[in-house]
Amino acid sequence: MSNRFSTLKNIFIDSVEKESYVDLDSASYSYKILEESLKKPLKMLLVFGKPGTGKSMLLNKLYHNLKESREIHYFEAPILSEKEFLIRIFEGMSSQEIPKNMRVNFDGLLRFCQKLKGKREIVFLLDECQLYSEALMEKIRLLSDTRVVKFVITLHKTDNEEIIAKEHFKTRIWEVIELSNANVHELELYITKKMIKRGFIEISNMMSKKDFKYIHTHTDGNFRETNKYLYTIFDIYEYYEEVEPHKLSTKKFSRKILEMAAIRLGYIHE
Amino acid sequence: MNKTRKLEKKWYQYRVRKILSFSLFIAITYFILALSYYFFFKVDSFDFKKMIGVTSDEKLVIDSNSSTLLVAGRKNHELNNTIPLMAVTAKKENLSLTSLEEHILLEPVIPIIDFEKEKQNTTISSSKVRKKKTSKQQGIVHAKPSTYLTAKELSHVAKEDRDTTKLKNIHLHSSSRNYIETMKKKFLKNKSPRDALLLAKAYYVKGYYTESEKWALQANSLDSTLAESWIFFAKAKAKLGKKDEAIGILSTYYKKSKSLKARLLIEKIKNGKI
Repeated sequence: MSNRFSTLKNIFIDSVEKESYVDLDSASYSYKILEESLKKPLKMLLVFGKPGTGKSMLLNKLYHNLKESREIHYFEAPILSEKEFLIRIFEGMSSQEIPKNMRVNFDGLLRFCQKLKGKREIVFLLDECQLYSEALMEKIRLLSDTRVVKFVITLHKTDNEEIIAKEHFKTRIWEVIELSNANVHELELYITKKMIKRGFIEISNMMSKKDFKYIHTHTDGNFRETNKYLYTIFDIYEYYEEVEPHKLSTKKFSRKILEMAAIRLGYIHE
Repeated sequence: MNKTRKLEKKWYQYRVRKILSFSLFIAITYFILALSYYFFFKVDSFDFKKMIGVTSDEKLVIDSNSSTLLVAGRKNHELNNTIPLMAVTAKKENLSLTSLEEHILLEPVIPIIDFEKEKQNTTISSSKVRKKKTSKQQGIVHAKPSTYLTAKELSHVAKEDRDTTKLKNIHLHSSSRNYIETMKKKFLKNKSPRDALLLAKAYYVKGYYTESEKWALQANSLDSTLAESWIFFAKAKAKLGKKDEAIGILSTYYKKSKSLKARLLIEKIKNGKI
């Protein structure tokens, strides 16, 4: 089964690829603040928000935009082992590969950082920091104190995690960027831009404001949920296009399919 | 493929449920609105004239010949055309109610047993002045007004010659008290709610509203379906200044029976006509 909807549904597969990034006003503003803050002599930057609000996407975009102009390293997945984390930091700073049977001494790493003071400034982007242990967070804090290493960290926004963030970094964090869910208008832009970018102008035109509102009701403007919902919608569309094309309108977006997808994902119950 | 078909089936179920719950919601809302409208507007703003399509400036007149209700200044057929069938029925009820009320209020309370005496009285009345004189002169004892003759009086009368001229000297006249006493005896004997009601009416006409209230209550406790027991109970209450209680009683009765009589009486009490 392969038709235009097979391609369309795949653009809504959740990923943090640069190509998937959609420029929205709020996201652009957050990105601008983040980029400006990196130019200042700040030890740490915190990006926080609920899951699916685009934190990873923001870090990914920052990395790709700055990797040519400055020393920047992006740890997409959290490194939970302290040994492995220190090795990756050292490798990033020294561009040397550490042999497998060797380990990095933290005191040695601090001394190495102090030697580089005033000469270099290395940025590390750490995603999903709520998974790091307290001991590791303490080491991150000490490293940032050398002012040679700068960290941009992301945290999920929950009460507890906010406390953790405050306890560890309250004196060091100078810039906090909070990301939130999209409103109906932003969600409409997000979906249409994504579809138009891949050439699905006709299908994007079929969608009305009511349809976007309906999608927003179920996803609450969360990008990850929206991607999941749209993937399911176009998965059902794919089936009808292949098996019962007479049931599909070429002018209007199908409310029936919107509701069917909502049932499948458990947003509504039959 | 089967997965999508199953999903479609679920969607149909979802739609049916949604339509049903929506219809139910509409029905319940409509019911609540109708009920609220009835309680807040219909009951409190009942207007008989409005109901039969007569403006507040026009007057209703009872045509005794045709036993119909007419609007003053309008031709009969005009009214008939405007009054719906239900309103006509109500009109008739109203008519009978009004005449009944007037009848009750105007009717002299004359006991049946006094009618014969009245006849005698009528014969006697032609020589009223002479009779008075004679009685004074001859020292005949008069029957006390408003009472039956006592045994002593009767014996005195019996002693008198049965001469018709002498009989003419006896002044007998009817009184409502006699009636009340008679009815009381009758009631004690039969315990009939109708007798209690007649007593309530009699007391009401005489202006003894506390007694009227008591007897209306008695009648009602014996037969609560007796419409007039409610009416006279409320009327007596209203006369005693307990208007709120009277309206409360009538409202209860109105809710139960939908009686126009009760409805009209509520209006009268509210307007201070009672």
